[in-house]
Parts: sequence; C-alpha cells; structure tokens
Amino acid sequence: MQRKVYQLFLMLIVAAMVLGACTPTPATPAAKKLPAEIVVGVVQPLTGSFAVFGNEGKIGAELAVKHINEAGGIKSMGGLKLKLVVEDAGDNADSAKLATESMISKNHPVAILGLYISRFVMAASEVTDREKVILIADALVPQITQMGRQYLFRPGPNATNHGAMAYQFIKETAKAQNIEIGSLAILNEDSANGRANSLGATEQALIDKFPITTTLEYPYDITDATQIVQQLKQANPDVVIHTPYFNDAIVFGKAFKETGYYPKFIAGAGACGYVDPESIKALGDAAEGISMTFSYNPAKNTPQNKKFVEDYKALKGYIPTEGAGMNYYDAMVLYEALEYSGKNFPDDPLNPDNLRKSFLALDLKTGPAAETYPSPEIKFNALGDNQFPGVVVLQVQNGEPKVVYPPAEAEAQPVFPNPHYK
Amino acid sequence: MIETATQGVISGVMMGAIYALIALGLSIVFGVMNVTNFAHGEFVMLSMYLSYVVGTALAWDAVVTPVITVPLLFFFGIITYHLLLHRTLRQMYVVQLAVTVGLQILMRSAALIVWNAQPRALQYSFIQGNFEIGGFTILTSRLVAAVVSLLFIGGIAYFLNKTWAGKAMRAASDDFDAASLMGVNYKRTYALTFGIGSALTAVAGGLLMSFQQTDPVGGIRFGLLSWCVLALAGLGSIPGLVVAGIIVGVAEALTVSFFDPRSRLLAVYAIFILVLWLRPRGLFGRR
Repeated sequence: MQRKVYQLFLMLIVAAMVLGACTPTPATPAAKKLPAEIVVGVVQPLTGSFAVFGNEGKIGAELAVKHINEAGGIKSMGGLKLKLVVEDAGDNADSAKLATESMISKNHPVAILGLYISRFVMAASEVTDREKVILIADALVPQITQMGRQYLFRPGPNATNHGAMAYQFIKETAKAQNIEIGSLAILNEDSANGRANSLGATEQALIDKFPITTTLEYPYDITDATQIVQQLKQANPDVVIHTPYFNDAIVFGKAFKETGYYPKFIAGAGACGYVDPESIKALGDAAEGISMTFSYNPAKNTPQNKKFVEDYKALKGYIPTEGAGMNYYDAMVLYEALEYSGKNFPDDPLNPDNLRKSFLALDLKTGPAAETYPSPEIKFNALGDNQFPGVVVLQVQNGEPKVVYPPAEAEAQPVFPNPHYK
Repeated sequence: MIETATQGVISGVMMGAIYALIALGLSIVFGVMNVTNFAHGEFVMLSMYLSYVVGTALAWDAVVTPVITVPLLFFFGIITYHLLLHRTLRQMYVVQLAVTVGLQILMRSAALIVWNAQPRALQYSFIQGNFEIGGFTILTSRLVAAVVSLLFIGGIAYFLNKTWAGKAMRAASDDFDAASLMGVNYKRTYALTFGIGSALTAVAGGLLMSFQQTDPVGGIRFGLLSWCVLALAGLGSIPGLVVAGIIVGVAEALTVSFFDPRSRLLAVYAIFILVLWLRPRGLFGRR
C-alpha cells in the first residue's frame, strides 16, 4: 500500500513536470516600438545673469545634434535622428527646477543636457532622477555627483580639477622657464564653485608645502576690487590663483590695471572670465597674459573638433567658449550611449535604465566625443563622473585666447611672467 | 594698520562722492514729488550702457559720454514722468510703488534683451592710472569722478537755491498746494525734477564707466546704495547727502580692508538699519 502511494506520488510529479514542459512559456516581451525621432532636451539659463553661458551651451548642443543627424543619426537604431528642444532655466534654482519639470512633461526627452550652474543642477536633478530621465550636466561643483543621483552624468572635469590644474600649470611653467616663485595668493568669489576651485589649488600647494600667503573671498557681484587688489599688493605674492565668475573677472582685471599692481602671474581657475571673447573685449590690454583653465580644448587637433570649431566660428565669429565646447562633447557622449544602447539593448534602447547602463559601460577613446574631449578617454564611475577628467589652460596672448598647457596640447608657449609684471 | 586705514579712507571718500551724486537724483525726486522711485538704480544701469554705446560708437572716453547721455536721460526722464508717474501722483502710495517696481523690471528685461546679459565695459579711459601722495595710492579715475561729482552736486545746489525753476521745485517740495496757488506749474516742475534726477544718473554713469563695467542686473546695487545714502542723509540737505555718501563709501572700504570683502554690503545695510531705527529723519533731514 505504502509502495503504491509512493508510485502514485512519483507519477504525479512526472506528469506535472511533463505538463509543465508542454505548457507554452510566456513569450519574451515584444521589442518596444521606437519613436520617429529621439527627443533631447536642453535646459540652460537663457535669460538672467547667467544667460551668457546658457546661450553658448545651447549653440554647442545644437551644433552637435546637427553633426550627429548629418552623419546618419543613431545607426544602431536604424538611423533615428535627434530632435533638440530647448527650455529656459531662468536665473535661479527654483526656475531651473520648474523648467526641467516643464521640459519633461511637455516633451518627454530621453535625456537633458545643460543647466551650467551647479545649484541649478542640484535642483533639477531631483526632478530628472524622479522621472528617470538622463541628465548630462555641464556644471563644475564636485558635490553635484555626490548626492546619490542615479541618472546624472558629468563628462566634464569638476572645479577641484580646475584649481589643481591652475596650480600645476604655474608650478611646471615656472620650473620650465627657470623663474623662481615662492608664494601664492588664492582669491575666489564666494560661491561653491569658487571655493571648490580654490580647494583644488590649495590641496596641491599643501602637498608641495608651497607657501600660501593670502586667501581672500569676495561676493561675485562685486563692483570695485581696488581695495582687494591693494591688499594683494601689500601681501605681494608671486602668483595669484583667481577663480572669478564672469563680471568680477572684468572688475579685477580693471583693478589690476588701474592700480598698476601685477604679480609675476595671474592664473585663473574655473573657466569663467578673463579669456572669453567678451572679457577680452571689455578688458583689452588688461587681460593680456592672464590664464584660465578650460573644460574644453578648442585647439584639439582632431577632425571632429576642427569641424565643430569651424562651424562655431562661422556662427559666432570666435572660437567655441567653455560652455559651447562642453555641451558639444556632452551631446556626443549621449550619442555614443544611444549607439551602445541600440546595439546592446535592441528591444528597448531608450529605456532610461538601459540608457544608464549604456553610459556606465562606455569607455571612449575614439569617436566624436573622445575627439572633442580634452583628455584621451571618457569612462564614467558609479557616481556619474568621468574617471579621466581633462582640463587645459588658455592664456590671452596678443588679444587672443591660446591653449598653452598641457604642453602636449598647447598651440602656443606660455608667456611667463605676466607681461605687465615689473 | 594706520596706513591701511588711511588708504581705505582715501578710497572711501572718493567713492562716497560718486554715491552722493547717484543718491542726489533719487533725493530730488523723492523730496519734490514724494515719489519713491525703485527704478533709480536701473536708470544708472541704463546710463552706463548708453555710455558704453556712445563710447564704442564714437570712440569717446567714458567721461566725455555724458555730453550725449545727459540730454538723452533728461528726455527719457521727462517722457517717463508724463507716461507713467504723472498718473500715479494722486493715487495711493502702493500704486506708485507698483509702477516704479514695474518700471525697474521692464528696464532690466529690456537691457537683457538688447545687451544679452553680457557685462560691457570700455577698455580705456584717459583718467585711468594712479599716482602716490605720501605713500598712499590715489586712483586717478576715482579722484576725477569724485571732483566731477562734487562739482555737479554744487551746481544742483546752486540751481535749487538761486534759480526760479529751482525755487519752484523747493516750493513744491515744501507745500505742493501753496506752490500751485503761487503760480508754480506743478506738472512742468515735476517733469523737470524727474528729468534732472534722471540726467544726474547719466553723469554718474559716465564716470562709473571709466573704471567699472555694467550688466543688466547691476542696477539694483546702485538703487539700494542710493536708498542707504538717502536714509542716512535725510531729505532736504545736499551737504548732508555728500557726508552720507562719504560715510557709506568709507564704511565699505574699511570693511573690505579690515574685515571681509563679503561683508561690504553688511556694513552698508547695518548703517541703513541703524539710522532708520535711531533717527528715521536721517542725520541731516529737514523733515
């Protein structure tokens, strides 16, 4: 009896297994239908006091999308073209957040480029993470990628990288030209950006045990810097590393000129002011010899970069600025991620999680993004930061911004010390 | 220490004279018309942009540009008075406030559209440079700007005290109805007042552009600063305005030199609040 029960039990199990095997397995989900075009958002400050950066960034992204579409769109998705939609972030974090919400609800973009100002990114990334939209930010403050955002990526370098590069440039150039420098002053506007840049420079100086004689902070909307320059004059450092925002670079440039005080070198950090066309125009001779770190290398000798520089110059009359360059390569990084997603997730390549995986899987050493990026490689870490951030140094020489550092990327020799230094 | 303080006082006195000139326009308008012009700083911003435009187009030095910008701002002031402010004179105070705040936003937005938020500066001025007296640096541009400001302030004081139009303005300021009964055409007097108030910003704008830059949102700085100077001076005293301007200028300079550049405005507004609290009429106010 017991044996019969056991046989019956065994037969039931076998029958269940056979029946289970015969039951049709659930079909794999059908491949998601692709849209007619891929919508990419640009949210930039187009009005207000940061509009200079935002408008340049917009042009950079527009040119990138034009170049991508002309080259056949996203080939792994059957040549799908990109469509750019633009929203004004305004001039504060609240308006930037609202603009991001509006962009997503109206246009449903797969990714958003821009925002430029770090506090705008912090506010807007709350929305993009909630809505699972990739945000490719062009802001510099290190903390923006340290808030646990899952869909935020920053291909460009951060502000600390900029500050460190400004210090390294001075140290190595002085050494190469056999000029003695023995003291450093660090000057910055008092936003998170200014502080992060100065922190990068300070860290490097401390590692070298290089004497920092003066550190000064000031509000970025300063209108008269002569008192601060007088203080620098009294401290008399050999080098000043200065992180301005934009307007304040003009204020300081004029104050240096007017007081007649120039240290051996004034090295800008943080990519704002001194070497951009408007600052050079406003400062004239006062800008001569001042350097600035840049997240984009306009002199990079690659076909893609040359094409971008030519088109930008045709449009604006001058070489691409920091904001334009960053948004160009940011859009190209998105292009590479879309291509990757099309190849590796063909069933649903525009799914935000698949796109996120694609960004994290990228390791770009060739292609349009790598050809326009200031370092040889782009590879994101888990935080969304590029592990190989690239920064170059531009210096105003005869009224033109020239890439002077690192030596391998330089189009001109650095003029050291400052031509105004007596 | 003493050297730094002396240098700060020298710089502060010179900037203070320019602040007094900027505040004078606001003071005249407020004193005569009883209009609180919240757009005053934007008039300075507009003057600076016009100075830039004239300086660039004609290759003129910034300090010469008021030759053109003063008449422009004078007429702009008169038009603004007739189109906007005249209609608010008999209205509630809040209407005036809404109109001038609206004008402020309008001017700022217009500047953003025209000049694309880009700060503009004139590269050179023949008054740029410096010289030393007793080891202290005197910036030529600040010295010239201070002297010109004081000359204009003196000129306005003369105009108000010695000319018929000036006396009419003062009469309207003291008692509007009595002045009207004495034959003062209040419409014309008010328009002239607002025109002069605007024209003074053109002088200040030209002087400021010899060593500063302008941007569309920069007007608010000058607007608030003017209010501080005016509150400190009180209404009706031109010498008081000069002294108040100098106090603000010196406070700013010493704060930057001895404390922290970021607390520059803290010192200014601390003075503003203290004066409003302890002496609401200002240090030299007639009323």
